[in-house]
Amino acid sequence: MKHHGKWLSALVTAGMLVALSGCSGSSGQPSAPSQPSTEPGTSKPVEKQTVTMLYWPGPESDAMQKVVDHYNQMQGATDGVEVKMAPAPREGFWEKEAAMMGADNKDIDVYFTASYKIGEHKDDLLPLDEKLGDSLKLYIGTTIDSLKNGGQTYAIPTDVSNHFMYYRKDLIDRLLTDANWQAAYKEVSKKITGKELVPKKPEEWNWDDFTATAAFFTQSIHPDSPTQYGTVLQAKNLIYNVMIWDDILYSLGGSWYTSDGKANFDTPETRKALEVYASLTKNGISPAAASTFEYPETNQAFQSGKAAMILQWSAAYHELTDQAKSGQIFDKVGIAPIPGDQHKTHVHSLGVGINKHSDKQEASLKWMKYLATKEAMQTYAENGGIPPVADVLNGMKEKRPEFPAIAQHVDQYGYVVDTSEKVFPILEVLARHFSAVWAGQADADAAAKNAQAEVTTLLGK
Amino acid sequence: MLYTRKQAYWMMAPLAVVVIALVAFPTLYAYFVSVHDARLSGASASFIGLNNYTATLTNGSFYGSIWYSAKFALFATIAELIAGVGLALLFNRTFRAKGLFTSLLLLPLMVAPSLFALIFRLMLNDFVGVVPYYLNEWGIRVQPFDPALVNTTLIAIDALQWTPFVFVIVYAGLATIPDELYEAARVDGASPVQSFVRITLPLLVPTLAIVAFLRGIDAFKIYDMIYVLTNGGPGELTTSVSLFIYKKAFLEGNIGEAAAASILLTFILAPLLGLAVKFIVRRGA
Repeated sequence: MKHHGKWLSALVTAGMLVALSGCSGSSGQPSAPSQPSTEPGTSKPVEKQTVTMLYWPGPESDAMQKVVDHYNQMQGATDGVEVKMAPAPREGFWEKEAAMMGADNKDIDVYFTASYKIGEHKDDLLPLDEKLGDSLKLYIGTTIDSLKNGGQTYAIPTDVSNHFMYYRKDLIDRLLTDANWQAAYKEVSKKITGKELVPKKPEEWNWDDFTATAAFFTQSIHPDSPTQYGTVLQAKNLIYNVMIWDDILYSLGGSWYTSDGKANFDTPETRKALEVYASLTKNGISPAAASTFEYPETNQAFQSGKAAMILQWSAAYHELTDQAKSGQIFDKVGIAPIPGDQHKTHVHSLGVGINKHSDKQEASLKWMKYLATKEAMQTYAENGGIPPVADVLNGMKEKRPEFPAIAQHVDQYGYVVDTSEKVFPILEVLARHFSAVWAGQADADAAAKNAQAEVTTLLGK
Repeated sequence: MLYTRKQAYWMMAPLAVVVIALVAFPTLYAYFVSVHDARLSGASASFIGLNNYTATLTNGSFYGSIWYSAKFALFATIAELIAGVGLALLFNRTFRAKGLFTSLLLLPLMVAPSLFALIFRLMLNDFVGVVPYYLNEWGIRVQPFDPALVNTTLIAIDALQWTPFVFVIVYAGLATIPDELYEAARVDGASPVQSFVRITLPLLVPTLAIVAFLRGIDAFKIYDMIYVLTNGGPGELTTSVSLFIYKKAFLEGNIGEAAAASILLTFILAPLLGLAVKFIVRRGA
């Protein structure tokens, strides 16, 4: 494609560049022309180089702009480098970036990437291990792993995403202390899971505990429940929803691949993990319409007080505990590890890497070296980013109470499913087959077998 | 002043260049890509002959998505025709604030389909949506996006957006029917229903054929609304052929197979479209 696609890629890139040429910094003002600075200790002027960094808009971009501004004013002046952010629309971002990479674009010096894209992007990015050396030790190891391919690190992580189980503290506290509720809980758990269970603390739950507790807080099963639904799944046919379901698979001891790299979906673990979701839907514990739900709908269910617990991205904590956005439940939000005999959470990182075709690799590297410092990551975190740096996350406990939990969960329970170029295609296959099971529209066994066959074909193994 | 044939060609040349650039090149390039192992990841694309076509033709999801698009197009078009004709008949008279109501009726046409879908994603939301709220107030417990109802919901949303389009064209068609025909029918003792069946409907057939054709094609191509609301799921329950091709290209990264699917779709639809056009031209004549 690369060879043949250059015609079209060049056209798309040209269009992008026309759009980008009109972009400026966050201020909305046109960038000032680069001024020659002075080399330290001499009066010899240094020609300032402008490094252009492609980034997607949103909270990550807002936070990064602050880091960029700080760098340009301070370290950048010494380095003789000015960083300019080039935003591209979030919708279709990866496709546009792929077109630019396909054209061996030189106008972008630093590309935005992610764990699930690094396999596709690696051929257009510089390996950073030797260039950044010990700087990479700043980050939580799992997140560096999430940007590796073939043993090489192609980007530095700027944001980390993982999952929490969010629950209503007030309801669970009462369940753990109210004898009447505990008696009812035993009946409900027997009816739904076939086992007579006793309530436990959320951090001790396995999937039976999760299912039983969710059933207890579902009005159609337990009419005295204060919430309509026990949980609200993100069951839309969407690759990001597969990432959440993966937690169940991995917590049950399953995985995407066998030890020799073959597809590993035709397994009891896969079927059991599928059945967890399917039974929640079948029993009305999660609404039938959840087959169209993703991040916002699940948040809305929790915010409106209609769900007792949800499996959700860590980024949601800030929103769910904001009184303005979540008036009904902002002070009642608890977080716990994803349930399971072993707690597991999917981890992926967003990050930035140097364009292999850029003419400003040295200047880009100076910027990247600054970015891989605690100071830069602290600025990033203070302005809304979630950098995977344990010291930074643990140090912001007062302002962002979830940060220490993110650091702990990513480090202790985090797994990186895959960083090859096959991630997106595999996720698409899984979303297609498994979302039908989640919604009660297909059989778990058939879906597992179909996924196994298709992923095997994709892998060519 | 008369121009020579040669001068005429020169005058047409700029347009020809534009057409070749905008239509011919992408089309030919699509054929070229369809016989290569073209990937979004930028890996080198080798020539693989008809493998992409074979893969598509042996893929049950491809046929499933065509079948879904056809069913969606059929039911959505029928719903829009019935509602559009009904509204056109209703508005084909004089009443107060007719202009205002006509403008309001046409509003959905001004909204981008993806935005229209987003509006309904919020309005039909179980937890914050205004529609489920009032349905619950009236004791009606229904989830519009339940897999059992989702296709009805999608067709209803499509109809809400595109019925005004049918209405405008049919209303224009009604305006061309002479009043004398209705007067003569009334003198002969025809009821309103008889007048509609014997006069209005036959004279509207060419208009209805054209509007059904346009809406059928457009509904067959349905993409934005499904992408926003269901993304083709659960499973492949709501996967249209446009969404199938999009996912093949941009999620699976298989540009070659997506191009092959598009080309095959053209060949599958061409005979049907040919017949439809022939019918319309004949009825129009």
